[in-house]
Amino acid sequence: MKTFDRDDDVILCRQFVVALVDLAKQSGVHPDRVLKGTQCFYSDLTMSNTLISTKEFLTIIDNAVKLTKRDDLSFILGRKYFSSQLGALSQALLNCKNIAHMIKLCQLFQFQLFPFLFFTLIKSRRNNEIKTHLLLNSAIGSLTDNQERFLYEFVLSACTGALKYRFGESIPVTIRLPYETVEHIEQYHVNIGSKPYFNQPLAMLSIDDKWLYHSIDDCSLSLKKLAITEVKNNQKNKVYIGFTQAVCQFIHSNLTYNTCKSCSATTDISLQSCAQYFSVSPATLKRKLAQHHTNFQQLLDKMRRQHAVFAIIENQQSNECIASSLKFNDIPNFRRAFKRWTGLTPSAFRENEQYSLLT
Amino acid sequence: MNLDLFSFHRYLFIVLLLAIASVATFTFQLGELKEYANIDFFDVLGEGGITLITLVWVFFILISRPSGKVTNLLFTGLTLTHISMLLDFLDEFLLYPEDNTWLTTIESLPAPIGMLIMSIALYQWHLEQVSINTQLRKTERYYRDHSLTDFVTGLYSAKYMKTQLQREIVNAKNVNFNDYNLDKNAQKQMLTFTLMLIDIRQFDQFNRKHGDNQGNILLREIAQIILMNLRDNDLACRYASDCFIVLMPNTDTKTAEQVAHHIEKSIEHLAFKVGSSTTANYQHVASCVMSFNGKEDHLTTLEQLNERMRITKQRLHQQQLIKEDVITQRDNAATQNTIIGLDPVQLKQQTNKCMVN
Repeated sequence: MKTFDRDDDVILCRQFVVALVDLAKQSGVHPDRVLKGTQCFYSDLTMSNTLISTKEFLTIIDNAVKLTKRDDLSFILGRKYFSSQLGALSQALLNCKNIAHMIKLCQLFQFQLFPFLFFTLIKSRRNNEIKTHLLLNSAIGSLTDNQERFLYEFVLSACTGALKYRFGESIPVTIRLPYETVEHIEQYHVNIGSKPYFNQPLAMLSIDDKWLYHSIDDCSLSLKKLAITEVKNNQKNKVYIGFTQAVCQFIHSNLTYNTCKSCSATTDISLQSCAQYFSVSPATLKRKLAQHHTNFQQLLDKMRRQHAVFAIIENQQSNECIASSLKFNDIPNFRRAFKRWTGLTPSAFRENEQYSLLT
Repeated sequence: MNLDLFSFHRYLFIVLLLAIASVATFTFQLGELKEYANIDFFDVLGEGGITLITLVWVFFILISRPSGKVTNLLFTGLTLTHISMLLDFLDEFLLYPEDNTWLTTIESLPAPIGMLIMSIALYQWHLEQVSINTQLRKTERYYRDHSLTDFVTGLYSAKYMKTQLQREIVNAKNVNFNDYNLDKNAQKQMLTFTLMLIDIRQFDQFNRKHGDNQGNILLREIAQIILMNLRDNDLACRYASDCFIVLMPNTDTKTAEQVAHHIEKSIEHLAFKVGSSTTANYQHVASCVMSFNGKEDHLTTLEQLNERMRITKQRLHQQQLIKEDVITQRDNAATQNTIIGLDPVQLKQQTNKCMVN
């Protein structure tokens, strides 16, 4: 699988930038000011296949938010994303039989859909209720607070928009977000519907399996197939993922592999083994990650933190269990690491979690 | 900067230019240039600065006000002051011959006259503002901050509502606390405020069909309808997207529900036209009201209000499903066409029957 870096021109302007620039224009900001700091000009936007890099797109987001001083940009873009920006892909998505199929499609066409964030699918069972969780992470390395917020808001309102469009009402989902409570909470109330939990150690969308397989009327399998073939023809074997995403997925697959099979045959997760996996030298790997404003240890910590937190809040696992699955030698070591990741010891975190769910 | 209004003041602008030009030519004809060594640059800097600033003030008056009596007065006052400053400034470069020293004596005369006129103008401006404030009622309370205006509907945004809400909550809590010994019931009726949320249903669908611009126009019209149906002390703001929020001070739930009902009814009757087409688009809204319970802070209150909205919408959605169900049932069985003309209670019974089936 090919990966792309922050500087690679992979983002379709038609899909992401044009709508944003138009919105800014509506609020009286000249397009050239929004595009400042990128190599893209307003005249380029009218051409059908202009590409820019993710780095430039992030700059455009920063500019637009700063210049318009509006906090609803991400929501407006997200709400109509599925129905208007995706062409054949939206045909395919809106003809899915249930949400599970939609998620599957999103996974397959993540690059076309949203190259900035990726999600890992995890199931959990509690009291005979099976839930599906979408763990969201940045595919393009570290983001500033504003960028992170914008991208999550975009994705969330796109998801709720699509579900509302298909079901006619909003579906209950639990949303956890990794940033502080925002000032423009009203936008979340109106655009997203479900109450989000802020300031969480992971970004996660959870949905009951009851809804996941709830069949939607008014869908055509043949139309969906047609649309998928069309998308596949268009993309011409171009399946890219963000480099950070590739590294995260490498770490994640090795984390879970060990827990499933409990044999220690696989290599431990280190910078060296990762570099080997991507067949680059450790120095190159370091340099590439630095381009994404992150480093290997940071990503490794993040994935382990998410694993531990998820095991606590959804699977109710004991410290011993989590520590052994993450290959800690002893419990105190794990507790110390957990405190470093989240600022709380595992037991304090559990109490906190129960308290926040009650209120 | 928005220079739209400037074109209305071409006449005043010409007057200003003429005044400056005539003052300059007049003084230059009368006086002789001073020698370079005799010019006091410290004075030049100070007086030049004042002259320039008065000119900037005139400019801002001209670009921010529509033409009219108050604008003319403000302009005259400021221009006279400006002329005084200009004379003073040119003085620094010119030496007047002995028999023309009267010029230096009268140069300060326009300024006080100008300032007097300015004062009258400011009083007129005050009267004007009072009348504008009555026009702004229902959209503004006690506090003005133009950066919080929502440019689509012209109402204030949710941020403004939040500050007003905080203020209202502090008031309610304070009075409750101070007069705790007084008759509790009487207070409760006097001091609770009620919030109302109004949400346009199927707004996304409208947007998809007619485009965002039409959607914005629709929002603006609906905002106007909401304002028309409110009482003088109420405050309406745009909450987010297709949702409006109304703050109703000293109001109980029952009254608020009535007003909400009025608003729902009037919006249902709005025959919105897209562009020049004659097809009417009827909108439906969901609304819910909630009285302040005297305990929570503003964010929790908003949270609860939105929870209510969610339930209201779910209920409406269910009702819609049942309605559709009834219609299909009716179409299936030709004999069931008696449903038309039934009163609501009967319809509900019929509906329940259908659901059981």
